[in-house]
Amino acid sequence: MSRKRAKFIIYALILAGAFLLLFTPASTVTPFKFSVIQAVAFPIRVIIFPFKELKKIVLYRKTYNEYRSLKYEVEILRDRLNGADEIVKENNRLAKLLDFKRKLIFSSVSANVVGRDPTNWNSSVVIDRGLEDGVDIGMPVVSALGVVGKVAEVAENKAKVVLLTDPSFAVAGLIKRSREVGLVSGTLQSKCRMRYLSVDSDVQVGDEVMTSKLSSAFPEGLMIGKVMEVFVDSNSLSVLCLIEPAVSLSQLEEVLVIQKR
Amino acid sequence: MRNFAMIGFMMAVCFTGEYVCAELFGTWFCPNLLMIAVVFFNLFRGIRQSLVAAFFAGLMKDSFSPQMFGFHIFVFLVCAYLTTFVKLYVYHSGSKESRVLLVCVMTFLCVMIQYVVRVMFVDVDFGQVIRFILLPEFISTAVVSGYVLEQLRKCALKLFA
Repeated sequence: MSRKRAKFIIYALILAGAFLLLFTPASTVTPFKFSVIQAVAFPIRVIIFPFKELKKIVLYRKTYNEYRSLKYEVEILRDRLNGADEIVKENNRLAKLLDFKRKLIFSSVSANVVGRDPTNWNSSVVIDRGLEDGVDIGMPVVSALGVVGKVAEVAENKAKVVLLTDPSFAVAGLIKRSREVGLVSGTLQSKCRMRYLSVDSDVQVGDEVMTSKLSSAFPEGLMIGKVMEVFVDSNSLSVLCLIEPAVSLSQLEEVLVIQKR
Repeated sequence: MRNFAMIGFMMAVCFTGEYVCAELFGTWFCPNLLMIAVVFFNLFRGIRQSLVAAFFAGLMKDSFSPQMFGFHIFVFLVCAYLTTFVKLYVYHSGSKESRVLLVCVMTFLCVMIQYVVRVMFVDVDFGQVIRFILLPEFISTAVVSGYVLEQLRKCALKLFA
């Protein structure tokens, strides 16, 4: 066999080996993936720290405006809460009457974002909680503002979360105003889209979208985002909406993993 | 063995650079520094070291990605092989412009290969790939490639001396 031919065979084998890697079961490679993240993430965090702080200073105006609007929202909610106080008291009395045992619906664990996928193809982050903290694959991840994503891979003390804007993410969504139900999934443009809404459905720009009870993974009523644009798809006779996520996913630092219902 | 470690180190530096760009500028300035490094190793150190560089590049991207393991390793290895063929037609020894052109062609091919492999597993809109992946990546890689190739050359001269 000539040397050139032997070389060609070796190169072909390398490529075939790489292709076969695609079919490796996820469970066998997950610990290896997380050990690479473990090795690379710390130096990256050290290097990125001054850049992140600088970014915060540059974006101080946006943060300040956000702070002002949230403060305003807190005041409105506090007012509403005072009004609702009487109703809560009445509800408590009735609950006692019925011997209703109140308990916490969800338990959750807080986590810090320690890494993210730098490519434009995927939207995912790495969090510092894993199997040891009760985090498991498929658990919903949220922040104070709404849905963040879903746990996709998990190791002993780290987990990978597929964000709301990743093309492989999907959740049943509901238009809050008109109660129309559709499927919310990610896109490559860091936004979400809502599909399978009937052509006569009542959807407007600015409508709030929340998780629906049809979703098996997410609790009902979590904020997903607001409708930015509405398109009528003439081919499939359905309406498609572009949604701006409620959570600023590029500035995510802390999240909550919802463990059970 | 020392060469492997040096290639791994240089690829880790390029990955960190990509990470910093993604954190700072978001989706609109995202040069494919790892692809530049793979092309660099192919031009200056030969196909074997280019394959090792492609493996490290894919390994790092696969570790941070929620996609199946091996996706980026496969894509980068194919790109490393293709560089050998494409450079026969595009690259002229000693010409800086042709190096940049080669990087641009390979960046384009890298996105296209990723699209073809990805579309087998996930529903991806080609229009969005062009608008939100190819254009930003192609333009930003073209802008920085001359500078990055020069820095990689200086770095390699010291590390592989």
